[in-house]
Amino acid sequence: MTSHAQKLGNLMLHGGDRGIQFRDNKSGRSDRISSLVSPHWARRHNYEGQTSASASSANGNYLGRSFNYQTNMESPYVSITLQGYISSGTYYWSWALWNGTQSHFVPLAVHDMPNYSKNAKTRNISTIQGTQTMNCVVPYIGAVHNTSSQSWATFDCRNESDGDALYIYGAADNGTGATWYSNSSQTIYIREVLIGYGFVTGSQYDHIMHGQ
Amino acid sequence: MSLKDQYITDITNGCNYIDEQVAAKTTEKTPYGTWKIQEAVDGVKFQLAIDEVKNSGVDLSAFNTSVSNAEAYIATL
Repeated sequence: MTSHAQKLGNLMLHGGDRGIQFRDNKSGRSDRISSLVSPHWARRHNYEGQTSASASSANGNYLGRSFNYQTNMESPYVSITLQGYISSGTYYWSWALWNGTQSHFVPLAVHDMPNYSKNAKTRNISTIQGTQTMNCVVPYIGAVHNTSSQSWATFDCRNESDGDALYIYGAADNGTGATWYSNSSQTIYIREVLIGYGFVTGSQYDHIMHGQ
Repeated sequence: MSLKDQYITDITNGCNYIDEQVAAKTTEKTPYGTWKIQEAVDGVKFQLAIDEVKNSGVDLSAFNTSVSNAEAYIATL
C-alpha cells in the first residue's frame, strides 16, 4: 500500500513561485514539471478588427496585435484566442507570443500537445528540477485558408517582467506547428483577438470544426 | 498596399499555386486525409467572395478559370 509520504512525494507540490508546480508520475512524463492554477480569465484587450502580415520569415512576423504584460494582475498566465487564416499556398500556419522587450518567445503553460502546444519555437525555463524546454507555438485549427476560430492558448508569463511588450507573431508552418518556414507569397490574417489574464481552455465561441 | 490589393495579390499567388499543383497532377493529402489542393481551392474561393474583392472592379475571370480547372482535376482523383 502506498504510504501518505509516498503519495505526497509523487505529487511533488511546490508553491510560492506564482503557481503550483507538480510532477505527475502516472503520466509517463515524470521527467517534466507542470504547473496548476484555478480557471479564471480577466479580459484586458479586445481587438475585433482584422490585421495581417506576410508569412515572410521563419522566425515569425508581427500580426499587428500586442500588449504590455502586467505583474499586478493576480495571475501570471495570459490566455489568448483569435480567428485567423493563411492565404492559399504551400504552407499552413501557427502563432506564438513574442516578448519584444527581452527578445524571446513566451512559453505555453503546457509543454507538448498536438493541435495546441508545439515546438517550432521553444524556450528554456528554470524549474525545481533544472532547466527544461517549453514549447511556444500554437498550431492553427479549423479551415487553414478560411477564417476560423482558434483554440484558447494559455501562456506562462512567470518568467516575463512587468511592462514587457508582448506581440502576437505568426508564421507559415508544416501543419503541426513543429517547423516554421518563410514564404512571402502567403499572408496571415487575424481578427477577433481576445487577451486576458487567467487560464482558459476551449475554442472561440463561434468555432466551426470544418470536418476535423 | 491597400487591403483590396493585398487580397488580389493573395489570390494571384493562390491561383499560381493551384495551377502548379494541377499541372503536376498532385495527389498530396492533408494530415486529415483530404486532398491538399482542395484546401487551396477553398481558400481562393473564400477570398474571391470577400466584398472588397467582389466589388473591386478587377477582372476575376482568370482566377475563376484556375478554380474551375482545379475542381475539374480534383473530380478525377
